[in-house]
Amino acid sequence: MAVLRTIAAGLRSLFRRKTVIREMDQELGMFLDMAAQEKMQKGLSHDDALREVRLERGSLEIAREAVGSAGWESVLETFRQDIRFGFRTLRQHPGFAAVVVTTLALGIGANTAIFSLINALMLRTLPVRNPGTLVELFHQYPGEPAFNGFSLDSYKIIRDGNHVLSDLLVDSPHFFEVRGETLETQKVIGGYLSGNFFESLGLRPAIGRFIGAEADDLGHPSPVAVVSWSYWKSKYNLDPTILGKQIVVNDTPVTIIGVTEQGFAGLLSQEMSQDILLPLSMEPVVHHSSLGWGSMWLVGRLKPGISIDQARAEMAVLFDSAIQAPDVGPYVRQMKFKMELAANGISTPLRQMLRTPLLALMVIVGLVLLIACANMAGLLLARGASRRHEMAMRACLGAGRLRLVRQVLTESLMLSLFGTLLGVLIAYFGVRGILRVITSGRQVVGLPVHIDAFTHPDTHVLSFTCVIAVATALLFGAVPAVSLSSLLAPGLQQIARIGVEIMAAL
Amino acid sequence: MPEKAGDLIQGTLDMLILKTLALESMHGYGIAVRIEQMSKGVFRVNAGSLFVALQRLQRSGLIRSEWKASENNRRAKYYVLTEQGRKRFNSETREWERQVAAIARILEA
Repeated sequence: MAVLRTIAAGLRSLFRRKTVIREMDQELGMFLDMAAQEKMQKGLSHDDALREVRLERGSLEIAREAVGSAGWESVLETFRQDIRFGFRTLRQHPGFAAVVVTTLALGIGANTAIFSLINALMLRTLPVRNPGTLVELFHQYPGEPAFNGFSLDSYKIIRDGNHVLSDLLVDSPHFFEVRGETLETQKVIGGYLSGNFFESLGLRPAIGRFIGAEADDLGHPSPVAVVSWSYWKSKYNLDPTILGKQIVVNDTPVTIIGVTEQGFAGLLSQEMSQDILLPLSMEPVVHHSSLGWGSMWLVGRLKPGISIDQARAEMAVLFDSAIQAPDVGPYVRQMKFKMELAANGISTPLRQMLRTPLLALMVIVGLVLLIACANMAGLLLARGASRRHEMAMRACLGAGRLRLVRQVLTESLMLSLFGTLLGVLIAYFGVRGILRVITSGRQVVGLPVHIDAFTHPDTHVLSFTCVIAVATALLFGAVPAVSLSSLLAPGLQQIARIGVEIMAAL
Repeated sequence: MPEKAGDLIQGTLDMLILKTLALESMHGYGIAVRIEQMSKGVFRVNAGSLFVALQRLQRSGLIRSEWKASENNRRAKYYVLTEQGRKRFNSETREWERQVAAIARILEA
């Protein structure tokens, strides 16, 4: 109750400020009147009475200030004053403000852009149950990059022989040419799934049902498909009659039986969504595949308490025995097994290609921002020399040192805020530009990229940007703020000189 | 005791205000005068501390305020003790008496 009342009273004095001040003035006026009246009854003149009340009771001006700054809301009130004052100061120096804001916008924009790429490619985890226990399996020919993509035989050996994985999933990405009653022929990324896929990942269908154990029955391919939520939205406008509709995938008709929940579209991480998911048993039918080496992409889930190193050791032995099978070619026999955590999805070519350059870029833009901060601190310091006078004047009028520091820091924060707003815009268009450049005409990337997945607002990116905005303001604002408030003496002398001149003129 | 006459011991002003209002509701100046009278001029209440204390007490729900006509027929803000304030005053009085008695025993020992 008391807390609510305190909040309510504080809000009242914030929003009904004029009323509250008027009431306070009235109350203090009454106080002064009554006290003075009593003195005058004892025979003092009006002026003398007022003076004596002031001596006895302290200045009423100070009383008003004291009451005003006692409540919690005074912090906000001071902040509001600082911001208003900051606005005025910045308006008086538009050139200075423009230079600082532009510099910051470029610095913060570059950082946000690179970070949102890193976030989408390396930090964002898959929207599935316990993504941290997912591992991706690779094989690697000496001197070449590692690839996922195993054969049916090796898949079976690894699946049935290991004691370290609770599940072994198949999610083999493929291009599909899809057409249907209402659909024009279009190339879509999709995939072939094992029957345990949805259950192991803890996913539920948005509507319909998912592909189940029948997916693994290679003798009886079931012509069904699950589509992603985003595909349902863009092609069918979330129409529930999609269930039971037929689409033609690479000349093979299949029936849509379900839609994934919003946000999930396969394990390819989120910049590339797998929109059409077919059972594994359909791969030989649709793609005329014999499920040889390179075709089956495997993702495992570690058993509780098993570390990835333990798992690696056992899986490598299984892999070695798999490649010793008589029908395996000499090239495959030279391959080594590899396994990595896959909490943010299967490693796509885009991700492998960008990983190192992105991290290097992040460091570089971070350094650029630091240098920009140093430059701006210098700029602010230089400007501080011309503000000494103003600071001294404010100190004379009763502003404490903390208040002066706060004022300068508030101005820095405002500059940084404007810079950040502009920087986020720059980052938004910058990321799109960067991706267009990266993904245009590069065969190695191959798969179309969902650019929206990178520029989609995300709490990671937003908090990163907020943190660098505040950190930047503190970095370039703190030194000038403290030095300004501590250099009061010369400013005071200046004011004193002006005062003497005025007195002389009078 | 306070270093110079008229200073209040930290934290006692709230209790004195509550005591004053327990007798009757009162405006700010009246409270100041009453505290002075009751202390036979020992305590002189500064306007700043008084109104800060009044705001604090009001926000914690121990007193409330209303605008009324004063004795010489002007609008004045009167402070009234709430039920919660009365309880607090009683408990604080007991605690105060306990402490005073204890300190007295120590000083007399």
